Amino acid sequence: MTDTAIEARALTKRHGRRRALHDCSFRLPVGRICAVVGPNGAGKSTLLALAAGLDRPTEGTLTVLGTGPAQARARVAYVAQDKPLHPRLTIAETLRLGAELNPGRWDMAVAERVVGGSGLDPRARVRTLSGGQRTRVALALALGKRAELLLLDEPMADLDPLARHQLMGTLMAEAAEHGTTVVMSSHIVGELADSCDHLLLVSGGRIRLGGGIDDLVAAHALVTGARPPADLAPHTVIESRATGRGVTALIRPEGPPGDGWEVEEPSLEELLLAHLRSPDAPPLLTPGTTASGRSGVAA
Amino acid sequence: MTMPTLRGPHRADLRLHRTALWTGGAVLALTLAYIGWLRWAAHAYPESEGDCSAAEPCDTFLGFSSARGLLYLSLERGAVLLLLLPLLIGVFVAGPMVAREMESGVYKLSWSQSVSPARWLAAKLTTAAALAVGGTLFLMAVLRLGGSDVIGVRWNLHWADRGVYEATGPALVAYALFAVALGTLIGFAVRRTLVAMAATGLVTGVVLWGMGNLRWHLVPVKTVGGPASDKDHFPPFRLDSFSMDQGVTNATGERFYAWQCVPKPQSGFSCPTDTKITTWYMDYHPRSHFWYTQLIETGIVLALAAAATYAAFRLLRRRTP
Amino acid sequence: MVEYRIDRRSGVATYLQIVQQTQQALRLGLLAPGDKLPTAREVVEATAINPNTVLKAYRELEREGLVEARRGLGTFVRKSLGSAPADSPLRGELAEWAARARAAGLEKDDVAALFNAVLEEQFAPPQAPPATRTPAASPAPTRGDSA
Repeated sequence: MTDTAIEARALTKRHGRRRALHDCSFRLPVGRICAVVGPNGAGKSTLLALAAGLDRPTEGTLTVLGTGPAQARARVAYVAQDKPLHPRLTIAETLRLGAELNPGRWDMAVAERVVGGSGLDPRARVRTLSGGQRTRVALALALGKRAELLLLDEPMADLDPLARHQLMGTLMAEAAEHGTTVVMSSHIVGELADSCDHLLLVSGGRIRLGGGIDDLVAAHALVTGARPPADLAPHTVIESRATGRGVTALIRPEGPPGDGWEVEEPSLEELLLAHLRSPDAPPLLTPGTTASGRSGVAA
Repeated sequence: MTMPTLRGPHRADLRLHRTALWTGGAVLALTLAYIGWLRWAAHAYPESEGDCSAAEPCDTFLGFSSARGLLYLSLERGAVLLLLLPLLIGVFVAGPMVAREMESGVYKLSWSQSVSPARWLAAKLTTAAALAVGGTLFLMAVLRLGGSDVIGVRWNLHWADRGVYEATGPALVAYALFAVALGTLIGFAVRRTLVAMAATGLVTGVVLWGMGNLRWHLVPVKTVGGPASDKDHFPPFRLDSFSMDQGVTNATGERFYAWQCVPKPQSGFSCPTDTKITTWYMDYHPRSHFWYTQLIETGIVLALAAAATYAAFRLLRRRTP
Repeated sequence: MVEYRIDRRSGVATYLQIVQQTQQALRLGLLAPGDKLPTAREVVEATAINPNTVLKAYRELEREGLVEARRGLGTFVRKSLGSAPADSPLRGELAEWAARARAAGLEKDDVAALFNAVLEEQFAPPQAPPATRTPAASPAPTRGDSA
């Protein structure tokens, strides 16, 4: 048993000449609900596909549940962004497919509960379903697998608010009961903020922030003061803006900011936006979420 | 290797393509019924004997001269149509079975179950191969059933004829397997349904055509000859052998074609200076060569199939962790 | 059984909302000693919040001595917060005060601000932590069900 769900070391993935991920290193402990956020095209999908064992890193290594992504396949469930399903199968047949392809793991009751939650007819063919209904079936397949690690690429994008709340609740309940590690990507942070306790901010193929959400927020401060920006020099300034006679800045404080600064805790959204607006800000991984130095299992 | 995990992806493939499976099964059953019925009809309605005249027309069978005539015509056409079978198999495997799953992204679903991509590919290969071999053997048996007494012997059902030749030996089975392997490779490599189907059909056709020409050069021909003159230089007609080349020689043994050079050289053809015919010759494959060429050709085609399979798995290994 | 309502825009940390709503339920007598709190699974299934948030809230309630976790059984209420039941004299005094404030021409927001200011004064912690966000002119942090 390992306490690490995903560990990346110098992970790089190129699609042709385009670099989707560049030199990413991080560690995700087991049992976290992790949001992978970042703008479109940041590399979120690539990261999830690599962890799911669908693709091969160009350089670097990726360890999943203490082993290679290929070896961990049976213990990992993955839902791709486009929610691929066999269009000509019925819902019931799709779930039976899940049972056949995951012998010894499959939990039909869970899968049927996820599908049944919206009164979907199990005899309906997949191709007749709406986007949200397809998402539901895809999530049913993933949850029915009883995986230790759930990798969900934009899971909530096609869902109406009610279904979103309901499925997120189901997901959280599964995680609460079985200690499942969940990794969800999204370009909207709002929908994940309450459900997730861990965050990976990806932009431009790089990991910008990684760690527990509380730790990340606590590591930053929003300061306002009628003082020159140079006074913030001892701290790492992520972003600063002139406001009236003074300055408002998001900083990583190195010690107390001193007198004359009004200090507030930033919201998660402020934290993320500030980092996205400042691509040159140094990345931050909170303690315990950096990749360990030991050489791992080769991918 | 446990049974359930082995069965999972196979059963999934069967379920996904059950429409094609039912259609294929229905075609096989209809073919068997059609040929069986004709065979019975040929027996039940024998050809009328004697000459036919306007006053006393012969019996006909559905507008054909006789049931037997229709049976033989069906066998001739059917044998040639059997050459399309590998194309059909390859195109189906390449398109609907492999490339469409890659193109639509459903492979991501398949690969994120508890079955490795290699098992996924192996399941597709073996399922398609088993069905292709079964169907091919079935149709070969139907051909035999229709004309066990004439296949390989009768004019137009000659043992060396395209279609009859392949369908009366292991070669056609080898082509079916090759088509499955090639379809898998191309479907996986190209990842575009229509392109993969076209490419597989094309390559399978080229291989079938190329091997059809090459096969008669795999085994050295036998040569017969005999005295000939300007007037009488045709070799005796031998139905059970397959003639590759026939002509005449002069006293020094130079080969040439009588009609090109005798009585005087036609323009555009090269003739030896001495065009006095002394012997006729014929290069031919006796029927006993059938099994040599069949086995060598089968070996070559199976080797190609193995190479395609290997390439497909290598490609998979390069793409996945 | 209490049902938690999570308001994302209240500005109050989610775990704190659970703590406060539990306390409120104890005060109003909706929960009594021996009652079982919903399991983390039940809470997250209904609210879609992170399981650890619920556990953190329950730990906080446990630390305050209000509830206790019994291994394998669940979390149970240990003692009630019945200091101000709905019909206590204090409530009557407050109602009287509110009526006077209204008669004096104060708007609802003015009354709330006044009440909060006094509340802050009376219950001020020894030293306020600098890192808590103070949303301007927000009424009582919990959105209790009583007016």
